[in-house]
Amino acid sequence: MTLHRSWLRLLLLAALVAAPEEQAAAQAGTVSTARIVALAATKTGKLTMGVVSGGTQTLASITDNTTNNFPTPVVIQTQWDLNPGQTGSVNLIGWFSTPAQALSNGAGTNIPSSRMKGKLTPGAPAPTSFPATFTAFTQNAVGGIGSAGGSLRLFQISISGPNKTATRTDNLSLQLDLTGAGVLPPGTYSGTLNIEAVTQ
Amino acid sequence: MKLPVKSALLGVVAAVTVGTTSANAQVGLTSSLATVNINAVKSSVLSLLINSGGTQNLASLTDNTTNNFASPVNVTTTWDLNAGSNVVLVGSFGTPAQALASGTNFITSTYVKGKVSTGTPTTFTAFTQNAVGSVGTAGGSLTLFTQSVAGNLANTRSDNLDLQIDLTGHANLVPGTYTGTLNLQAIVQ
Repeated sequence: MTLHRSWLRLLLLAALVAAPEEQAAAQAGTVSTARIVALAATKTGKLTMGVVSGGTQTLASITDNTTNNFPTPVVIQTQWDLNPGQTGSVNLIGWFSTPAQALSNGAGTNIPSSRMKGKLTPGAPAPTSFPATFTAFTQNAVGGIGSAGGSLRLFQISISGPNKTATRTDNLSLQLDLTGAGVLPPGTYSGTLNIEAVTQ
Repeated sequence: MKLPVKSALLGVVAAVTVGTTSANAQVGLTSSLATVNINAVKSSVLSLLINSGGTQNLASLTDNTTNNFASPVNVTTTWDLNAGSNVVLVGSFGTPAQALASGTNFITSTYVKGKVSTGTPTTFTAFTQNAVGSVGTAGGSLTLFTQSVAGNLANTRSDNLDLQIDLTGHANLVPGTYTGTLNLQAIVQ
């Protein structure tokens, strides 16, 4: 009985030792299902714009039936970092929200945006297009920016490799052209010109 | 083998789709909004211009009668207002008791008269009225016209002021050259 039990123990031990080797041999070369890890890193386009100076424009004395130039320009800095394959142009738009009431004296007399004019003295490089002479704020919105009949595209510049990243500074001169207008009642006429850049 | 091919195709389709989306991503990109405050001031205007007759001469004064100056003072008054009831033109002497003087001899404003055929005193009237508002002197003034500006806030008008020295009843003047200054000024009331 003792000898028989000893043999049994040896056989069991041998079986236990041999079993893992056979299993290891069986798993070699087996591969799991391929899994993918989706990687995404986005660099968003950047478009910023700010008024450097001239954020308040004042005409101390309006003269009827002639042009009245504001003495100093609005200095505007526009910056962008864009993909030229994804952007056609950068546009700077100025507009009055209510064109019929661009400026108002608060007593019922309004100056429409057709009497407000702007011209741009562009920084480098020259834009594709810009109002080089005083032009009324009577254009329509561009790319959803602006108001119908109360806007003026201050510049449009095409985006390509060389200027996909740029900072530019432009001077916007403003004029109140009362030529042909009726006599304005004396008073202070105030309004807000909105400026915003948009890509197209 | 078929499954990897399908996966690869799906990957290509996905890549194309992503590419299309990002191609449009930078259209319509906007900056923040900036504003420019605009103020334009139109000041009220009330101006007076002497077109002619700024110097009036009487070559020969005659005592105890009226002495008319030969030509009128032509004045243009212009206003551009946003409020007010009337524009008033006032003539006055700074010191009524010495409207004109020749040394220590004086002609008072009582003896100086004016008329404006298009204005208020259409007959010769002495400069003995009081000031209008802040314009004029007490007892040495004459309102030359009062123009309502209701519905007429911007306008201009020209008038002729005729002057006279009326020495009727005045003691004989000491011979000499009598000079003085008549002030003209308009005021809104």
